Amino acid sequence: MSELKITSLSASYGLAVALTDVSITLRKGETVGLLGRNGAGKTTLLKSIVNDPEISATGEVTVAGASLRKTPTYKVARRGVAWVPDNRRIFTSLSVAENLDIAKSRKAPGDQLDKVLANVPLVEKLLKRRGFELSGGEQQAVTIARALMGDPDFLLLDEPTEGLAPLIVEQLRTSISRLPSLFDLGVLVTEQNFRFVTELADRVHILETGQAVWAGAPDELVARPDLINRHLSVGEK
Amino acid sequence: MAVISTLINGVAYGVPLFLVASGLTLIYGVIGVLNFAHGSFFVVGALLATTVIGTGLPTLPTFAVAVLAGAAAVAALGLVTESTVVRRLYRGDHITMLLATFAVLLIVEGVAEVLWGTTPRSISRPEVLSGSTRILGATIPLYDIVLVVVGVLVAAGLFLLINKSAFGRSVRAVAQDSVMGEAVGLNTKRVMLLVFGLGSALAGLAGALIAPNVSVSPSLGHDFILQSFAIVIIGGLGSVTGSLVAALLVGVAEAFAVAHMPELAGFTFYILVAVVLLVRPRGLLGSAKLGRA
Repeated sequence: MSELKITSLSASYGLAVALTDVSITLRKGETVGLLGRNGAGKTTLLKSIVNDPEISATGEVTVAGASLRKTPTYKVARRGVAWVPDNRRIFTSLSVAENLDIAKSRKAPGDQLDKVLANVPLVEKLLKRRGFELSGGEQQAVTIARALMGDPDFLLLDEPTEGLAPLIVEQLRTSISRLPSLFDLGVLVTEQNFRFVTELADRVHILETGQAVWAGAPDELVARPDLINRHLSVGEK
Repeated sequence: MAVISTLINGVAYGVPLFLVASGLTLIYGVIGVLNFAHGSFFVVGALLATTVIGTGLPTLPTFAVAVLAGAAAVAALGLVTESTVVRRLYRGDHITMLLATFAVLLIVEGVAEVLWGTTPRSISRPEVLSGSTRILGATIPLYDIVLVVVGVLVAAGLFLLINKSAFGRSVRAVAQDSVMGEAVGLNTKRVMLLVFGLGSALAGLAGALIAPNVSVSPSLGHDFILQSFAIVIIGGLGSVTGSLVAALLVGVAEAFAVAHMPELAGFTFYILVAVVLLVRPRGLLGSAKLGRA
């Protein structure tokens, strides 16, 4: 089975170390959640996977056994790893249709657009709108749809609920929960929203000051208020 | 009648400036590089045209080949410059980039002096383009009409390329956010390389087209690059449409100055730049990054 394997990954911004010796495996068909406070290294981890040029990383990231470490970001995308960053970064000067079209990969089936529109709510009615006209929730839906246009094997979502209203967050959770089976992909989602992740993920990792400090099942974490208070400080019971 | 004549003269004067400025602004809008070497690229286009045409009276096909050869050779020069110099400095600051492209300008000018010498060269137009015609009672040189037609075709081509083609979508995406462009699978280095080549080709095309109207020497680019920077400032950094509007504005203003207020001839650029910087510092249509052209 195809897997995205992160082994002993460390990363820094210049001299500032942001991630130390993190190992996580993501398989197709599953959702892995990554929890942590601000500055825990969640965003850095996702950026390191896609080889964002502002980050210097060591360690190994492989897809189906092949290393991504020296691979340019666009080739990481073409090898099936799609990234939805925390501030969405929709192309505001392009229409929604253009945002989707630009991300369609050659390996994607001919009906990928239809499949994406049928399974990501909201997007179909936005196709003619320009990126700068969209609300936060609409932008999030479009960026997820855009990521799916490349027919990825793995989807990296960075704090998808950031700045969204509770009702939209609930719709988003439902929508993301269907993606692994509908698109045969693995989802790695970072969040500070504890409930969102524990209700969505099959497994959860906690990062603290750049280090992986705990991993296990969501139910296990929910039953451990001591862990939650120590590493996340969200007070969930 | 004099007004029509002056108007068309002004538009014809503005077209080469538009071609040079649109290349400059396209490169800045997508890559964020103010390419000081652009003026020397313009000169290489003009010098190549003089070499292809030689001293005789060219036929129309020979002239067309000379113009296309100027654009193509300068496009190749741009591709080499981007891949050997500019690409290495994308993460540097603007000062480093300006110094590097200024160094390229000095190198290109130096090589041009070795290859073509410093003696000004001039070429003739094809006989079929040497006459004049009457439009609304005004006498208009045929070559001015050719320049206007080329300007319209290039402006329309750039508009379609940027707004209606898959390549244009990539260009607009990369101009806004190159890292995100990479993340959706775009080879942004290739997009930037092609944009630099396209912008350079426009400079070469302008140089080859202007060659029959001026004395061509390796220092020809100095005045043109200053005027082109003025047009980019007036039109707005990163806006191809802004460059078109500004070039036409400047060309027509200069033509009217020459015809009616000769004491202002040569200063209209600076007056317009000063007015735009006072009233609208971002330029007429400026956004600093390429959106819709």
